[in-house]
This record gives sequence, C-alpha cells and structure tokens, in this order.
Amino acid sequence: MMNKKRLFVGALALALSMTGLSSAQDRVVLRVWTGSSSPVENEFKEKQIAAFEAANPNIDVDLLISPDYGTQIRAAFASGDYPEVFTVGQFDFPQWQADGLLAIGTDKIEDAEGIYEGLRAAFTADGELYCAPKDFSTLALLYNIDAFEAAGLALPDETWTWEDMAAAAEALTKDGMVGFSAAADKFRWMAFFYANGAQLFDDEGKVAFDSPEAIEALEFYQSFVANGHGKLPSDLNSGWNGEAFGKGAAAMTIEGNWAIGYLRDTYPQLNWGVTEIPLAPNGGRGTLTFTECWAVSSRAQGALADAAWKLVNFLTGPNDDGAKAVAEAGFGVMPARAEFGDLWLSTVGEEYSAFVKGAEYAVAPIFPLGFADFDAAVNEATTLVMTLEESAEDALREAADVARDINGE
Amino acid sequence: MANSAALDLSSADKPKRSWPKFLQGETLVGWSFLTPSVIILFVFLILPLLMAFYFSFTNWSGTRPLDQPDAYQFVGFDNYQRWIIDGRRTDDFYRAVRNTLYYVLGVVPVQTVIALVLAVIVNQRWLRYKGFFRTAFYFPSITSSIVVSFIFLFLFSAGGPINTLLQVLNPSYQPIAWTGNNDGLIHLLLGGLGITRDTAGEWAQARILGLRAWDWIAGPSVALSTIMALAVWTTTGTLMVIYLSALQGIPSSVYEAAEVDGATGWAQFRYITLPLLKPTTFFVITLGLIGTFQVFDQIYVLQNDTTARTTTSVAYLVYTTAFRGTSPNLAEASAIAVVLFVIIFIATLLQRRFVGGDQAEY
Amino acid sequence: MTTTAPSLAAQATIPTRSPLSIILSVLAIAFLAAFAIIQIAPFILTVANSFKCDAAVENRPMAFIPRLETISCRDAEGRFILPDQQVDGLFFSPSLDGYRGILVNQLPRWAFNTLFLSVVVTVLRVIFNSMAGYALARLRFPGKRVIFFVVLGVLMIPGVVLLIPRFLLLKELGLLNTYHGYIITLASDAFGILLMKQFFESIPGEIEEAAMVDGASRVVIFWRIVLPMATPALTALTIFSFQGNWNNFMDALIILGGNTELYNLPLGLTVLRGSGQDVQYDLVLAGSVVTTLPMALIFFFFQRYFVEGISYTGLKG
Repeated sequence: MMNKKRLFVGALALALSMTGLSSAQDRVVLRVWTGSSSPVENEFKEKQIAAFEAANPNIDVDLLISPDYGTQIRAAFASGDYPEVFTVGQFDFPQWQADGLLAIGTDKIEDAEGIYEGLRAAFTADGELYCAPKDFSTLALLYNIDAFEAAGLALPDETWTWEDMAAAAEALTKDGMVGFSAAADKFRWMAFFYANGAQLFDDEGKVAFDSPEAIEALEFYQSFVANGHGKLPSDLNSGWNGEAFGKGAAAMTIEGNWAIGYLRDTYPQLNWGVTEIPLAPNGGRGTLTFTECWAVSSRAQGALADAAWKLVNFLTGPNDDGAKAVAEAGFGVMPARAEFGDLWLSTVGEEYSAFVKGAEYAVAPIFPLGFADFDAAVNEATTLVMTLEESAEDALREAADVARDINGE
Repeated sequence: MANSAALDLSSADKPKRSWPKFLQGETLVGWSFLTPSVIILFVFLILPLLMAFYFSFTNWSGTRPLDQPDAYQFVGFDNYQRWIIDGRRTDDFYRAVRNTLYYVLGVVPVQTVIALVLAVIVNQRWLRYKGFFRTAFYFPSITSSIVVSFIFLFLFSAGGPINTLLQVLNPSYQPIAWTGNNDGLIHLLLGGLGITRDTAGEWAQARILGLRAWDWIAGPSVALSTIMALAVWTTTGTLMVIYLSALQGIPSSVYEAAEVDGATGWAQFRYITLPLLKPTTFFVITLGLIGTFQVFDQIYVLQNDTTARTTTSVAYLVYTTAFRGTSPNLAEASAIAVVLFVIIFIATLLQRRFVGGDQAEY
Repeated sequence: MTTTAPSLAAQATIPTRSPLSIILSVLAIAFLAAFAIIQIAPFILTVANSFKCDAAVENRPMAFIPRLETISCRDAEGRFILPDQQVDGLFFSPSLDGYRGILVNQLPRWAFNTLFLSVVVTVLRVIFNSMAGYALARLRFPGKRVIFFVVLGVLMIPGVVLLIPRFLLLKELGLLNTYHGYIITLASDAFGILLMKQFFESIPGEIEEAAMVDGASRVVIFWRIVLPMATPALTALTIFSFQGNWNNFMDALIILGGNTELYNLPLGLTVLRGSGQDVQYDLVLAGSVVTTLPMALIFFFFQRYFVEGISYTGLKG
C-alpha cells in the first residue's frame, strides 16, 4: 500500500514540476532495491539510507531488501518497471548493461579515480563506467598457525612461492589433517591462472585459455589432490573451504575476506593467519576479486535521475556515510576506495592486510557476454581435473575449444 | 465373500454402467463446478506456460524489458538444437536426464510402499495413541529442510554414524564421504565384478544422445543415492496422509463381511484393502512420478561443486540456466522446461498404460 | 518390513487374543515407537539447535538436552563464545539470541499475513477443488476428458520458468502487491483437484444413485451427501493446502515481494536470516520452529478427522 501511495505522490510531484508549478517542497521518491546479506549488513544499509534521507529532506527513499533479489529484480526488469537505484553483481553486469538497464555513470560518479582500478574495470563497458562499486572482496591464502608451528615450519609470508606452498602442504599432511583444502571451483584456481600470466584471450582476441601458463596453473592446483597433500572440501566433510579450514581438517586454503567473520564467529578458537597468494614461478602475483555496485536505472529521468545519482554518490563516495562508513563498519567486505583500506584494517585487524594488498593486482574474473557455454565448460573442466578424472591439459583444451567455437575461430 | 465384496464396489465405481439415465443436464452442472478452477488454472498457470513456450523460440535474456522494441528476436529451434539435439550443451542436458531417471526409478517405488505401510499401520483399530503416531510419521514433511540436510551431512560424513556402523559390521570397509562421491552404484557393482569402462567392450564407448553408453548405465551416484534417501524420508508423510484418507473411504462393512467369512490379517489386506486402494495407489504413483521428475529442492540444498555432474536434475538445470552463472537465459531455460514437460507427459501416459491397468476412466 | 508390518498389525485385530498375538502386538508397538522417534528426532534437534548460537549449530548439532541456565552468545567484550562454552556432550546451555533476532517490529504483521492468506486460500481451495474434483469424477459432460488432461498437465510444468511470465501477467492484471492478488492466484490448484477426484472415484456410487432416484438434484447431492462423506479427503486437502501456503515462498515473492508490509513469514524470515555464507543459522532455526510448530499443531488437530471405517449405510435414503 505504502508503495503505491508513494509512487502516486512521486508521480504527482513529477507532473507538478513539469507544469512549472514546482516549489522547493517537491518530494522525489526513489525506489532502491538490494539483496539480503548478513543481518548486520542489512542494518548497515538501512542506516546509510536513513542518513541520506536526513541529509536530503526532499528525497524519500523506499528501500527494499529482497529475500530473493535475483528473481525479484529480473521479474521487475522484464516488466520494464524497475527501481531507480539497485545493486549489480559483477557477474550480472555484462548482461544487464547489454540489456540497456543501466544509466551511464562516467560523468555522474564523483571522484571515480579514488576507486580501485580493478573494480572500475569490472563495471566498465565500451569505455564507459556504469555504476559505482560499493565494496569488494579478494582471495588470499589462509593458514593455520598452530599446524605450522606444530610441524616446525616458518609461517608463510608474501615472499612465498608455489614451491614453498607445495612443500609445506606435504609437511602439514598428517594426523588427520591435509595441507590444503582445494575447492573444485574455477574461482579459486584461476587466481593461480592470472598470477602465472595466463589470459582468457590473447592480444589478438583469440582464445588463450589452454596456454601453457594456464595448464601449469591448473596442474599446480590439482597436484595437491593428486599427491594427497590436499583434498576437496566435500572429502573433508565440509560444504566449503572455510568450513574445512575452520574445523582443522586442512592447514591451508584459498578464500576471501568473507571468511574473517565466519571463522571468528563459528570457529573462534582457531589460530589462523592470512597472506597473499604465493608467487608464480615467473614471480607474478594474482588474485581474484568479487564486487558489487550501486547502479541507476536507465529509465530514471530528470529530477529522479539527479536524486538517484545523489544517492549513489552518497552510498559509495568518500564521505562519512559512504566508503568510510563501510570501512568503519568492518564487516566482511572492504571499502572500494583505496584511501580507506587502512581504516578498514584498523577496524578488523592489521593481520588481514593481505586482502587489501590483493586489491592492487586483483582481476575480476568475468567471462564476456555470450560465453555461457564456455562458463559451463570451465566448471566441468575444473570438476574433472579436481576429481582426477582428466588431465589439466585435456580439460582446458576441451573448454577452450568451446570458447573458440563461440568466438568463431 | 471377501472377493465379491471388492468386485461389487469397484464395478459400482464406473459411472457409465451406474446411471445412464441421468446424463442430460450434467453439462451445465459439470461446467459450473469446473469454472472457478479452470479460470484460475488457465490464467495463472496455462497462460504463463504458453508464454514460456513462446519464449523458448526466442533469444530473450529474461532481463531485457519487454517494452523495448528490440527485446528479443525469434531464433527458431536454436535453443532446442543447442541443448537437446546436437549443440554444445547436449551432454549437460542428457546427464541431467540420466540423473533424473535414476532418481525417479529409485524414489517412486520406495516412497509409495513405505507410505502405504505407514498408513495401514496408523489406521489399525487396535493401535492406541493414533494421533501421536500419525503426527510423528508426518513430521518429516514439515521439518526444516536445512536442519534435515545438516543432519544428513552429519550422518553420512566420513567419520559419521553410518560409516562407523558399516565399519563395525565389516572391518575391512574403507569409510567414504557419501555426499561427495560421484561413483555410480551400477559402476561400483560392475567394478566389483572386474568390469570397467576399458574392459567393458565396444558398446560402452558408443555415444548415445550426448553420453557414452557406459555413462548412461552408471546408476545413481553414491551422492545422489543419499539425496534420494532424504527425499523418501521427507515425502512419505504426505503420501501417507493421502493413503490414510483413502482408507477411510473403505466401508467397515466390507471388513466385517470378510471377517464373517474368516478372512483375517494378511488375507484382508491382500484381497480387500489393496484392490480398493488401487485408484489411490495409481494417484500416488502419478504424483510421485510428476514430483520426482521435477525434483529441485533437495538437489538445491544438498548438492556441492564436485557432485554437480551426478546430482543435477533437469529441473535444477532449468533453474541454473534461467538464473545463475554468466549470461543467464530465460529462453534457453524455457526450452529445457518444455522438453521436461514432454518427458513427464510421456512418462505419465506410459504409467497409465502399464501400471494403471484397467483404470480406464482415470 | 513391507509385508510383515501390516500382517502383524492385522493379526492383532483377531478378536480372541492368544499370548502370541499379544507378544506380536507389543513388538509392533515397540517397532512403531522406535520408528516414530526416528521421524521426530530431527524436529527435536531443530528445536534444540534453535536455542544455540550460530557456531554451536554448525559444530555441535547433536546436543539436545538443555541445562537450566540461559546464556548470551556474546561475551562481555562482544565476541562470540566458543561452541564448547555452550555445549558439553549432549548437554547445552540455551540462548535466546536466535529468537531475539527474529523478533522485529514487523513479525506480528508477517504472522498475521501468513495466517490470513493461508486460511482464506485453504477455504477457497476446499470449495473449488472439491467442486472441480467431483465434476471430473462423477459428472458426464463434453470436454471433461480434455479438462482432466489439462489439470494433470498443469502439475507437470516446471515452476521455475513460469515465475517471470506470471509476474508479467499479474502486473497486467493489477494484482501485484495485493492480498487479493495472492488469494485469487492460488484459490484452486491442480493437485487438490486431482486429490478430490481420486477420492470421489473411490467411494461407492450407490448412495448418490439412491438420492437421485428420490429426485435430488446433483447440486443438492454434492452439498448434502457427497461432501460430508468426503471428510477424510477434505481433511487431507486442508492440511496440504494450509501447509503449502504457510510455507509458500516463491508465489509470495512474485506476488507480494514489492511490499514488506504484505510479506508472509517465509519472506520476512529469509530477509532476516541473511544469505550465502552470511546465513545466521540460529535465526534460521528459530524461524523454522516458529513456522513448523503451528503446522504440527494444525496437523494434530485435523488428523482426528481420519476416523476409521465410516459407515456409508447410515447415510442411505
């Protein structure tokens, strides 16, 4: 009921402003949609919106935290009647941008240079930045300090190489613990893929997914399982890496900063540390990043569009209630602006600096639009390799062939 | 006579013999009784189905607003081609078909039999605290699926109670992680006999509908089998209630007559109860078939990355195609759904022919 | 089990009881009780775990005996306590944090919506489903066979692909984000129609025949004679319909998703509990108890209408 009333008022206000009868009292109503994340984060978003409304008395925000955002926003898109401001995940961005749902933000997003370049790249198409990243996560190497000390090993640091990691995994595999929990997930091993200098496409736009560097990266990731120094989380009675690591079933794993809150809350007794993902043989660094942005609807016009961008800048900008507030809140995700990295660390703890450092070289692993079959093929390849049913070389060649087929090579 | 009582009743069931005189005038009543339901089903289910069917011949992403002039183009049978005929995704599709078939064949008979047994038991005159037992047996249908999945993961974990029990029974048994195991049961059986993919012969390598013959005969994987066990556990309560309501429909006079004739116990069950429950059994199997072919929830809750290949059902594939991954695509999902609809329809017709027997009217 | 249990049970009905039959019936009861415990245990664990902190739910799910004193999930410094500080073997110290987490301002509103929508839809379904089921089972008229297959076909549609088309239709009809939109959409369902149809087919037709001979019309026969006889099936239908709507997530999301005032409990609790790796299991379970317990009570209340062996003869004439 509220919605309709507000909509009506909004429409009336719009009509009045168009007929030149507008006054300073005109109210704009913004519909804002996002998905439900943790209870703390939901509350954070509500507070942010309340602060915005207090600062902008002529703008009303109708916030909807959806129980199933993906379904609900898609239905709204299909109908053409969708909110003025909404969140976009990096994997949805190519499709939603191509579908013409998002307004261009290049000239609207204030102080865009302050946002990490890798994050901006995830939401850039045809040279235009569409939406403002609100926060992000990166992958890093999590290690069990007690297990390392018990094995008499030095703790891993940023100088670690793949060789060091393999040797440690071997030494740590004993007493019902394996060295490494290796999820059969392309968004884990592809951190090694990028570190090793591999790319989806070469400079000429040809598929390079089965390059020697790519094969080497996947072979390295597979080697833990192949030689028994690592296992899949499902073989460690766990739903995911974080659980296997938390239970003490694996001494190392690769996970993102979302694991901080989970491990603190669920396994508070665990003594663990985190460092950057080890250096590739060529000395290269790599990690993956996962991010979400606040976008404005391409259908919002005039005063509505202005109010929408005002809100987006408020939620993501360097102000007290935007990126800075994300840093001070200190839940799983990190602020998208480099200047607040240290503030975030001072909130959650300096020991997690590896996640922030990763932001400098992280890649958002997004497959181009139209490559859904390739996406599925990579999932398949990853599973086959990690269950030791196929060699990395064969699996990657098969997946790359799918991409070549799509690419018309 | 027990037999004749049953026969009388079932023949009374057939309207065409019972009241030929009253045929006139029933058209009006019949249609007015049906109208509210038909309107609702038509508007809210059949129209959307027709829309989905229409979209299956387009390239609509599902997110592009339909009021845009270029919302979609017609692509003919491209989506079907790609998933069903010989496109890039046929192996994914037929693997899901295989998983679904094993799921249906495993779950339907077991849940039907258990539901019948439970219903007959809690319907016994001598049983005290019936309310308690009925509620208890219904509980799995209303218990949170998340808790159930936690408990299942615990029961089947490598160090969990099931493995411990098996080790006590058979000390040489090597514990396995049930919920993460992709080995097919038939493959395991053949493996025990020394037959593997490489020794099975030429036929095993033959490709039929996107999969090797060897992969078709894999049987349900260990992981899928645990999901099937969970499904049986959660659905029998519902089916028990259907049987229970049908058991009430059997007049007590039939049993009284049978007891006079000396038919007791097993004979009563075999020759009176079972034949009279035939329409219900038929209904329960039809429902079971349709429900299991569309299995989605249980897979959603219990699948993990590794077991996706042997546990993804067709309905789950529809979901992931429509809403997950890079470039989700509603048109392609609709094409898969249309094919699933056809598969279920054929399966139901076959069941009516072979299981239904002479239940011609239904 | 398939064959022995019913025969055990049936033998126990022999009027003259031998010592053997008594032993057998005791065994049967023991077997039933054991089976019942297996069926209920997960719910007991649900209740027990709903009083645990998030960490203990995941790590110590099997402890189910509460101690008397309650605790908080966070210590004085605001850090979460260790699972072992809460759980010791099969014992645990209950915490109310999960229930506090779901106790938000809107909870009573959501509970009301759930109850209201479930009751109205169930009443309508009982009426519309039994009318349609009766027509398909007993009446003879042109088009009946086609309608039967259409109803059966509706069950075969994989619901996922219908979500967005349904949303578009409901929007065109102006039914989004309204109570009546939800009620109209769900006022009849294929499963209920088929359930009633197969029940009507399984009851003897002589009674209706006799009433017809007496000159009663079809409508009178349906309301006065057939519906009262259908109590067991209507009971089953009521239970299924109530449960289906009480737990309905997807229809509620599509129809009511735009307005949190209209949310039912499944929608509201899903927002509260979080998603993905951020799911708060204590909130999930507290919510699950809140939604399951009324269902269990309703089932227990309605199952008494499953009275064995209705005598049809008394209804004749």
